[in-house]
Amino acid sequence: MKDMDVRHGGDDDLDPHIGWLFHRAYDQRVDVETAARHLWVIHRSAQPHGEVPRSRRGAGAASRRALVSAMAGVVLLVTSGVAVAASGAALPGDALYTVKRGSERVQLLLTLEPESGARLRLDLARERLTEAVAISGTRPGSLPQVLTAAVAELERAEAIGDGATTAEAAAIRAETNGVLAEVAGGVEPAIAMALEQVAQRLGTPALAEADEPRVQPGLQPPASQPGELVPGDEPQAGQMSQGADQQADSPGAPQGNHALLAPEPDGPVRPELGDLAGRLPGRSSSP
Amino acid sequence: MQHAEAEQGSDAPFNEQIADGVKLGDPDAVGAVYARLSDRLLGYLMARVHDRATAEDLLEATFIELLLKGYTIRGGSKAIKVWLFRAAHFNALDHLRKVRRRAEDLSDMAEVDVVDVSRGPAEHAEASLLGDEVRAAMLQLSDDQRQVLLLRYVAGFTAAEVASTMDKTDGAIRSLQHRGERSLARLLGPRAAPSGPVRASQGRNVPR
Repeated sequence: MKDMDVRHGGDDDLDPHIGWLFHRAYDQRVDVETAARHLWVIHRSAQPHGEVPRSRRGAGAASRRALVSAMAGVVLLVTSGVAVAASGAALPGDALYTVKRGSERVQLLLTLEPESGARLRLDLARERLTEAVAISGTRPGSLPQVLTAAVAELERAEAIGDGATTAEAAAIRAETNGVLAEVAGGVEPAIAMALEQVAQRLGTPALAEADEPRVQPGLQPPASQPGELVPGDEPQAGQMSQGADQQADSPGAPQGNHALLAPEPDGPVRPELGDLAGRLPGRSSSP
Repeated sequence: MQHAEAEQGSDAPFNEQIADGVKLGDPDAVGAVYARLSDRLLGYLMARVHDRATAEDLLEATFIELLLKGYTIRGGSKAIKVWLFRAAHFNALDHLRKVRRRAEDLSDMAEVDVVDVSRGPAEHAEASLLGDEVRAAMLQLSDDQRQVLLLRYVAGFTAAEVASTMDKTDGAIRSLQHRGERSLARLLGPRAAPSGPVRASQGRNVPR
C-alpha cells in the first residue's frame, strides 16, 4: 500500500493496489442458471403495451447484429453450462424449465436471418407442443400457457418467414389444432375455457364444439380456482381466462417467484398478424 | 458472464443501437447490457448487502427497472451505466434499511453496523482470506467512505458521478475517498501490499 498516496489527477486518481484488493474482495461472476433466469425474466417483463411500438424497437437484422457481440458471451456461457444442457428435457413446472426458456431467448437473439429466426420459432413452437402433450396428464393447469407460447411462436414465425417456412408453419398450425383437441379432453372447465381461447387465437372454433359437453353454454368460468392448478404453476385461473391479448405478464413485479410458464414475453400478437394468421392455409385444416 | 467482458471490456461504451434500444424498452438491448455489466453489478451489490442470493435478487430487480424506466435516461452508454449503478445503489439502500428496521424491531442494537448475516459459512470458506480481510476492513470505514470506495473502484464511477449519486460535492467525494483509502491502508497494513508488481490489467481504474 506504499503507493497509496499516488494521485494522478482528474478521474484517474484511483490506486491500482486498492483496485487489485477490491478485485480480490468483490470480483463476482453471474452463474449460468442465474443469467438465463434473469434474461428470461427481462424478456417476460417487456412492456406489451408500453410506450414503444414493436416497430420502433430496433428490430431487424442490423440492430440484432449490433447485439450479437455482447450476447455471444452469454451464449458461450449458456451453451457450455451443465444446467442448460440438463434443462433441455425440462417440462413446465420443473426447476430447470426457466433455464431452458432463458437459453431459448439467447438462441433467438443470436439468430440474425429472418428465415433462420422463423425456422427456430417453428422449432420452439413444436417444442411447446411436445411439452403440452407431455404434461397434459400431470400438470393440465400449465397447458394454456404452454400452448399460448406455441401459438405465439407460430405467429411470429409466420410473420417473419418466407415461402420456405410457410408449409411447415401450416403443418404446425394443424398440429397445434390437433394437440389442442387432444389435451382438452377431461380437463376442468376453467382450463378448458382457457384452451378454447388459445384455439380462438389460433383461428379455429372447432375446439369450442369439442368442449361443449364439458363447458355448458352460459357457464361462467370461475373467477379463481387455484385448486385446479398444479402446485408450482404460478398463473391463476383468472389470468388464464384472459383474452390472448392480455396474456403477457404484468411488468413491474420483478421480485418473487419467477413464472416458469410465462407467455410470449414480447407481448401479444399484433392485430395485423392475427389477420395474417387467418389467411394461412392451416386455419381451415382444423379437426 | 466473463466471456462478454473478455471480448469487449466492461468499460467499452455500448453500441449506439443498444443504448437506443434500452431507452425504448427493448429487452434484447437490456439483455446486451446485462451481458456486459452484470458481473460488476453483482460484485457491487454483494459488497453492499453481503449475501449472494439477495444480491442476485437486487441485480434482477435493477435490470427490470432498467427495462421499464430506461426511457428516462438522458445520454449515451455512459449514462446507462451510471443510471444502472445508481439504481442498484438505491435498491441496496432500500434493502439495508429494511434489514436495519427488522434489526431495530428485534433489539435495541440499532447502532451496530447492519450486515446481512445470511452469508453462509461455506461462502465464507470459499472466499479468499485476503478478500475476507478487505471486506472486514471495509466494514470499519464510515458508511460514506465505504460507498465512495465501492462506487469508485467496483462500479467504476468517476468522482463527479459518485458526487451526483450521493448528492455531495466533488470535493467531498474526493476527501471521503482519500480518507477511506488511508483507513484501509492502516487497517490492512503490510498484508495489503500485492506480492508482485501490479500487472497492467490490474492497474486499470476499475478492477476487472
